[in-house]
Amino acid sequence: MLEAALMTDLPRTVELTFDEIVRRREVQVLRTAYRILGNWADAEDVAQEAFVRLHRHKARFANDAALGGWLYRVIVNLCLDRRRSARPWQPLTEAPSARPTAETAAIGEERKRRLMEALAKLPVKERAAVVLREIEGLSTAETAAALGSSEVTVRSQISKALARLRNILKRGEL
Amino acid sequence: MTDDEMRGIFREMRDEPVPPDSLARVRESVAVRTRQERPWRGWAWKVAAALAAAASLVLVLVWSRASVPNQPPPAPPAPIAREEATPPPPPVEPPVTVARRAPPPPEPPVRPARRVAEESTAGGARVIRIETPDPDVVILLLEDRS
Repeated sequence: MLEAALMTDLPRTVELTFDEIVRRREVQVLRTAYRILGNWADAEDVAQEAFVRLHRHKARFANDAALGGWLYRVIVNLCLDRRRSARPWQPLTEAPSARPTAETAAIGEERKRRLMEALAKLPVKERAAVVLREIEGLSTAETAAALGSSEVTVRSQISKALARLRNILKRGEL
Repeated sequence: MTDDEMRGIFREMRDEPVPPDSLARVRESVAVRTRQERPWRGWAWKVAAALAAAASLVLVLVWSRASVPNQPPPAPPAPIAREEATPPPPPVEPPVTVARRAPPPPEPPVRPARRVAEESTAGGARVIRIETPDPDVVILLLEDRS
């Protein structure tokens, strides 16, 4: 329903070709899928499927935000579908492109690795909420729309998720 | 690790690069799959357009045939000789339903006109016999000579 709402009755359309949209959004799509699924192979499959669906829809969006919202919704749904057959979590530090910048080096690769591995232990919906809201920087409303739930639910999920992460890191399970 | 620290790390991860080879694989796969779908879609559109055109043609034909009886047919000039050779068939009278129609009244028998005959009796009296159309009625005139 959200997809239909985003794709219709819109006063202005995004005048981009499909290839341009792929170029602009491929990093966002791939990274979000990886954060939720935890390995690059599954993330690639999800990203590919999301773009193919976009191509099939021949969708025109009111603006960039509407397109982004639609893509996030598709990514989350595809990731939730894949959670049963998901491959094992692949730590971010194993990613070949995880080149540490000056800022990430300051934070410390070890802390980041531990946090990502703790994130992998969360229920998939809580993980998706944290990824969209905290990592991708969506608003609570946008996150709720992408997850197909209410803002109250999103706030609750994120609160629970942060508490779980704290406990996991505190117990030193990693 | 506090919530703020976790949020700080999450923010740092926001702009993290992704593996270039993963991006390349996604691009390639998307290009291949969308290319595979394009010819099929073009073919489907062509078939759909052809079917629509055929359906439109059939509709136009049906409509034109249906509208022909409404127009007055032109009188073709036929040669007279042909008309004589093939006279038009006699008009067909509608079937008569005897049960519903009352029987025609019987025509009165044709009677000869009133005939006057003179006869003479043995006594010499004169008798004039006049026959009427009714056979049961005969008028006899007797002359009184006294």
